[in-house]
Amino acid sequence: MSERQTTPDPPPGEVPSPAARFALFQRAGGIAAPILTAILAFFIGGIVVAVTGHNPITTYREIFNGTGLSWFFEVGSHQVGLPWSDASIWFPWNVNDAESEAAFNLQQTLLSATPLIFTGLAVAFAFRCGLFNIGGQGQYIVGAMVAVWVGSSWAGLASGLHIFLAIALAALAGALWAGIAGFLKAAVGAHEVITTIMLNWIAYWIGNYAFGQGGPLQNKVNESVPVSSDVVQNAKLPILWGDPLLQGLHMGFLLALAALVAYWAILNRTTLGYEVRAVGFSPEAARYSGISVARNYFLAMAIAGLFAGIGGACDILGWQFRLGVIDVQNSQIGFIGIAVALLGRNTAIGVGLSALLFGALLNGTSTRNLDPEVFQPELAGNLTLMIQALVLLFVGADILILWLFSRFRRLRRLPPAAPTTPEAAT
Amino acid sequence: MSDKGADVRRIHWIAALLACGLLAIGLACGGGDDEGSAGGETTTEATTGSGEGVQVGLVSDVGRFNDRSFNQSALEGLQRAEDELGITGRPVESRQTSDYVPNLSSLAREGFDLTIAVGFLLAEATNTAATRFKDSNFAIIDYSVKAPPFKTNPNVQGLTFATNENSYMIGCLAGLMAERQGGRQVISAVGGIKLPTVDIFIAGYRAGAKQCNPQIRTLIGYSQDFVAQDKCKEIALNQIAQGSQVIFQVAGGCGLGALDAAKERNKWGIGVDRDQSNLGPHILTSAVKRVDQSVFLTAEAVVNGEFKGGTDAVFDLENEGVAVGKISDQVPQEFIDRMNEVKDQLISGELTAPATL
Amino acid sequence: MIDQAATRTYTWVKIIHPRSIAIAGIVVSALGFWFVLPPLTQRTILWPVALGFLGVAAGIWAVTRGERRLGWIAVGLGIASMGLGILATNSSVGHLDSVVVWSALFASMLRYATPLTYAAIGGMFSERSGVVNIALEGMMLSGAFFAILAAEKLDSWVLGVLAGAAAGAGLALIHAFFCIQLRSDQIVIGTAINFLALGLTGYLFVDVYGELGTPADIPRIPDVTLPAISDWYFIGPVLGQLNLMIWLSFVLLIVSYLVMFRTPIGLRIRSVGEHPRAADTVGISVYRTRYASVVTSGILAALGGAYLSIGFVGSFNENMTAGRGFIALAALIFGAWRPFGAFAAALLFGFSSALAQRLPEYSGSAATLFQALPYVLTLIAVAGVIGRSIPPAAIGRPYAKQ
Repeated sequence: MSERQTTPDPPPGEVPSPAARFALFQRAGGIAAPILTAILAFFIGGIVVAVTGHNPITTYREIFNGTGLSWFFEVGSHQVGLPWSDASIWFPWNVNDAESEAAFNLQQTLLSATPLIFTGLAVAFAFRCGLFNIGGQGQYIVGAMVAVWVGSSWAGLASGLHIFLAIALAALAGALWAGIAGFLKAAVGAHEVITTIMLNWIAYWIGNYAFGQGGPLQNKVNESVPVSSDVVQNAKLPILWGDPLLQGLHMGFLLALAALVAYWAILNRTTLGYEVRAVGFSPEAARYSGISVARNYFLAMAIAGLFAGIGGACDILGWQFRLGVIDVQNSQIGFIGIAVALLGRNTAIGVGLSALLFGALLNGTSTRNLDPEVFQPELAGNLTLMIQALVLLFVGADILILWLFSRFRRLRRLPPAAPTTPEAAT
Repeated sequence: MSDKGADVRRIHWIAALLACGLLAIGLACGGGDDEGSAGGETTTEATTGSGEGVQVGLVSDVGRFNDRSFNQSALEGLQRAEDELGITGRPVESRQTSDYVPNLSSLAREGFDLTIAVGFLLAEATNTAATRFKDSNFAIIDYSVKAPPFKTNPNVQGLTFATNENSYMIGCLAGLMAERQGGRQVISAVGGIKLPTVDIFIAGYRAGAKQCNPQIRTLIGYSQDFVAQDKCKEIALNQIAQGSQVIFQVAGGCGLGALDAAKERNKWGIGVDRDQSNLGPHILTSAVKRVDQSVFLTAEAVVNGEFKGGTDAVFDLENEGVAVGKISDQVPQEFIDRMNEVKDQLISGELTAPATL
Repeated sequence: MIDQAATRTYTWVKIIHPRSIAIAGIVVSALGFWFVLPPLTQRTILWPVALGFLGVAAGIWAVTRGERRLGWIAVGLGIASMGLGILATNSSVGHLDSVVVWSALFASMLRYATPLTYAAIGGMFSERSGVVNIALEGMMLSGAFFAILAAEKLDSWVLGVLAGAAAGAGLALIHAFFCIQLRSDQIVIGTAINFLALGLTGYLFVDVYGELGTPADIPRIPDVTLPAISDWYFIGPVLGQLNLMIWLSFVLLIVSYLVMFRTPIGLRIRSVGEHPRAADTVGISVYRTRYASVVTSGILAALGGAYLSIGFVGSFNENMTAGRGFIALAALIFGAWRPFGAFAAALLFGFSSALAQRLPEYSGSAATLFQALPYVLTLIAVAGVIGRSIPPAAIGRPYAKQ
């Protein structure tokens, strides 16, 4: 598999496939399709839940309450403090998480959505160039490792500088890690799916090694515990909302929103983005018009890794503050990012919204929120996974609908469908 | 194309609106009996009810409750406390690291009298929660409150286990069995991830074997995994190929693979955390860690108002916090006597079992 | 356009031919390293250094005379054997003896390689017909789970294997439908199938087996013990007690080679993968052939998974296959889409995994790094360092029937 072929244009006179007909529509960015995909996925998930003897409606309702999105429905009369002053003004929602359970849940949902935005962008950017980046997990871990190393060293640095350095170096690490796969693809045409997956596992084991007993990044305070040193106070990201002691929402969230804007800007307002998209549409055509396909493969992967690396840094500096062997082993953020990107159709808004959806799912299905009487929390985690899978599968739902539609038409024997139907003659 | 595109877009919008509508109707109707999502408590019948009204929460680490040993044992202790003391128990599973702090703090916020964190991974989070919620009681299993990050937390109790002691006894037995068998004097241990709570078993095992059989050699391998059984099985097979006659598994779910290898090749296996003699006649004994007992006793202390925060409660041979599981009936009585001799010597202090490798 | 590898011929013109010198260099370097290992365990660095040096020299000679690939391999191997030989002589004999127990290593290698073999051959069928199958991992995992589910509920390992195969076939049908009929992007759908398998097996596993996991006494695929050879020096520990599935994988190798390269069915599959339009013109049903190939790949990958769950371990845990499907795919590419090549690659990865398990003898903490060895090897293999593989010409391109 030296080069992944994109669907070629059918020769004239041939009926284009549903996929080809839809490719253009997908790129046009219709928003109804992702919503439909998500709802279809939830629907099928609900069927599985029902088949195994639970009530899908109450289950989904419980999950919704746990996500904190119900906070928006609890309108009342509250106060919120203005930043950098002691004054407070009227605000329709209760921002005090000690009083409002929903507020706390919402914080956690946004906290979970932040790294998902980054890893989603990592997959999305590569996809725009026609590359399938499954290495988000490895790039995230590498970024997190560098961030925890920088964050726990040089205790005397000024806060702003320290944070900047940590994030910048983490981004660089992620970019390099993805760049390996990009380089291999550019130089020898090695298939990026396999190389990125292998790099994931290699990063996994490097993490295991680095933080294990006797490893280079293991902390010196408690030498039997396989965990890194703590991030120093100066390097921690400021908290936007919530109790700083109790994992409040940190500034990384704003960074994530900025990353969404940056993603859109790079792709749509720079030459690099133009070239990346051109290569994504058709590598042959791009090469013919003078664009260096190899260079763009490498750059696309590197930028994708950059996003994922920053995601890792934000998590470490925002709430985690340390990284251990067990964290490396358990982390799934990079993989959920794939579903995020595909559901969001690789657009900035799409990635943002679907990251929110998956973050909400992660928190809504957590044991503290889901009443075991209604639905076993152990199952809920896997339900989330299945919904993710169905989302991916139904990325082609539009195709499925069109195919069913065309089948239906054929049955009704419409006026002779010669090869030169309105479909081919745009 | 444009004609077709408009067609399809129309279908899309209709379908999407329809689906949203259905969902809204479903949510509105189906959820009328909302009990309060985040406050659900497991209701159990209280038999002897001195602990009515006392709420005890249990927060697992990312190993979750189906790891077949450690977390599960804690859950059993909670259930026993519910049955015998009449408390209300609430187990909360953590699925990812970001769940630790919210899990602990949400239980504290709901006014739970005791929140038990299962495992050293929760040390940081417990410290944070205990500092913030000074009026709630916390306990942490397998971690000492004298170790960092804990400073002076009068509301946290550490529950530690002297598993080196029962492993010492078992090592002695293993050494004697190997001696009786003849052949290569080799025994082995398969660990999961190299953690202090794993090494403490192995350290005692190795020293105990040496004490009772000076020629013994102990092989140690780590699978880096507590779940994937094939890894532990491979390591055990390797060790058997090097002559090991007794395999001690210290790897939770993964370790079951090691015991399977012992069964396959007709060697002895030793279980961990809970009595695993039900796995078959190849199980020599088990190094039992009464996590359930520790949970139960701590809950009892809270019920009786005797909770001692700021200190460690040590569970060892003397108070039966650690024990030796059911011994195979193929073991001659003299070996068991020797083992009990060692036990007395450990309790009296004549012998000390090392806790680190 | 038709399979070039099958018609490659070797020319052995002279003994002094660069190719033969390069090969001699490879052999000499390997020998130098082998001398310091058990059972010979020579304790002097003379052997690895001298022979390694000769290997390097031979390699350089060959490279300058035009035999690039083999020459550079000889150079690399010579340097590696010098370095590793010195390391080996510096470590204690005890360590060496415990790490390099050849028979146990080989037995371990076979156990690791078997699931990879099944999945790789399955992948061969699919990819030779032109459909990229990234979903080998998901099919393997579902095979593992449903095999153990059926074996436990129906109390028979045969039914378990059949159920596993059926599960693999089911997933493969979904894959085939979306890729062939709807002509979706094959990589996206493959990834979706992987996620689906992960979520479905995980969900059902927790639902059916809950906290206690799979019970202890599940009917297992039996081992084939050959008492006659069990006591032979080296072969005994390796072949004396192997699982039935491992023996079957050898049979599968031969059968798949014959089918793919010596029967009309195989020719049909290959032609559909190389030039579907031509095959269609001749009357071969492209769709049907591809459907059959993909379903076959699903069944074979699932069998690999079934070996893992009811053959080797006897239990199931979530995400049991842990990336083996992808390594199998890499083995396939490494082996140039041929069964014996893929098998050789699977053995290589199996050997590296087996070795990685034993190297912790040397250094406790670096042990974890060794676990990355198979993945690094796969990376090198896929990067085409060992040589560029030529895939079937029409792979990855959906076919539109006229």
